[in-house]
Amino acid sequence: MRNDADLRTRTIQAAYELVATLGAEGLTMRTLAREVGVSTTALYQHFASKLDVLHEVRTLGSKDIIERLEQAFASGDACEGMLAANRAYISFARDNPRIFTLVFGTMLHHWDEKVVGSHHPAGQRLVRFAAEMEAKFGHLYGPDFLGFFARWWCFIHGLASLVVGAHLRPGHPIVPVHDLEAFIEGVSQAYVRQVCR
Amino acid sequence: MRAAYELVTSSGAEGVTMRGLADRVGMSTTALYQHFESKLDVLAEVRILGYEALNESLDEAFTVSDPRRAMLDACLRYVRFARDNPFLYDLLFESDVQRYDELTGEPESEVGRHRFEMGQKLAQKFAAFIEGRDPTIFFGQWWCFCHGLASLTIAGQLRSTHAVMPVHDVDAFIKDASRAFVDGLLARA
Repeated sequence: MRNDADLRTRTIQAAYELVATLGAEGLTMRTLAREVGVSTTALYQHFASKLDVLHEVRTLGSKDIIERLEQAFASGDACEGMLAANRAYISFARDNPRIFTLVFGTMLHHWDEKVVGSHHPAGQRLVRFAAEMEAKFGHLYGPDFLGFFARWWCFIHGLASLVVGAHLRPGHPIVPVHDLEAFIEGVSQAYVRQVCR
Repeated sequence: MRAAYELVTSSGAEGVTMRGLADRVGMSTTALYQHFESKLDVLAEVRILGYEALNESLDEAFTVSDPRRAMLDACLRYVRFARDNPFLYDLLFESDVQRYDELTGEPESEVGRHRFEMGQKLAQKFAAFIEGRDPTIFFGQWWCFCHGLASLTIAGQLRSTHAVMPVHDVDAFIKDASRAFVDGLLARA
């Protein structure tokens, strides 16, 4: 039984790395089995399907990003914390663009309840992170805290997505980006200045 | 091209095959290959059509004279476009293929010139709000927010079972969040 659990963990880890390099579309059960050193049949005894594996990879990915956000946000006051959380969100996306796409993309559509439901470890983490944010921003956005949180998410998610999608370019007619790092920092600081006003 | 656009809209880029396309337009696959080298070639053209459709819709919103209304309407249209055409939106923003400016050779092309004119008009319209700020950052914030909202919406991230921010009424949420965001962006320091 212990070996089974061990194999499961190893498989998910191997799948994570495969998705990180090949993307979710590039992952096959056959490659995964070879990577872990078991037969495809044996693999199917642990995971019903590739989708099943992808859900686990997605859980790992969401845990990772929430952990980074929590850590970043803990530093300094509310506004410094948000700025640090912004940087953490962007660096997660840039470090793992394909995992980022799996976690937030349309591919698995509806992020399965088992991933973010509050009973799930990643969900619990997220609840904790939001509570920390509420503790720091509650005095500014008390009754509208959820709206405030959601708007922040839209903003930072949009920025991360435009960055990893390489949409921020010098040739853009309305938002010409000549220095990507300066743009990321500038837009993120402008957002924080607005909410901290 | 139209047929490919419709195929992407209804079933996603993966749903487009050269054979399926040929069937739709009543051509042989061989004849189709005389016009387009590959599926990627077709998708590149579909992307241009897609960007044009999105831009047209946004331009219309930006003609509204009240700047606050214009900015809000444009954002709502942005999200509406994504919700009406999730597969197409995915192809435009979430896929690995070439970017708009690579496709259209901005600013030299007709489309590119038109976009630049639009950019100048926008800078004038929002001049009073931009004053003292970097216009790229100003419009960049708007883009990040509206794209993020659109992208999270079509990915099904806004739902009533979310652990932290349950969204029971997606339409109301989109409206409220956009309004609050635009108000914040246009508020003077």
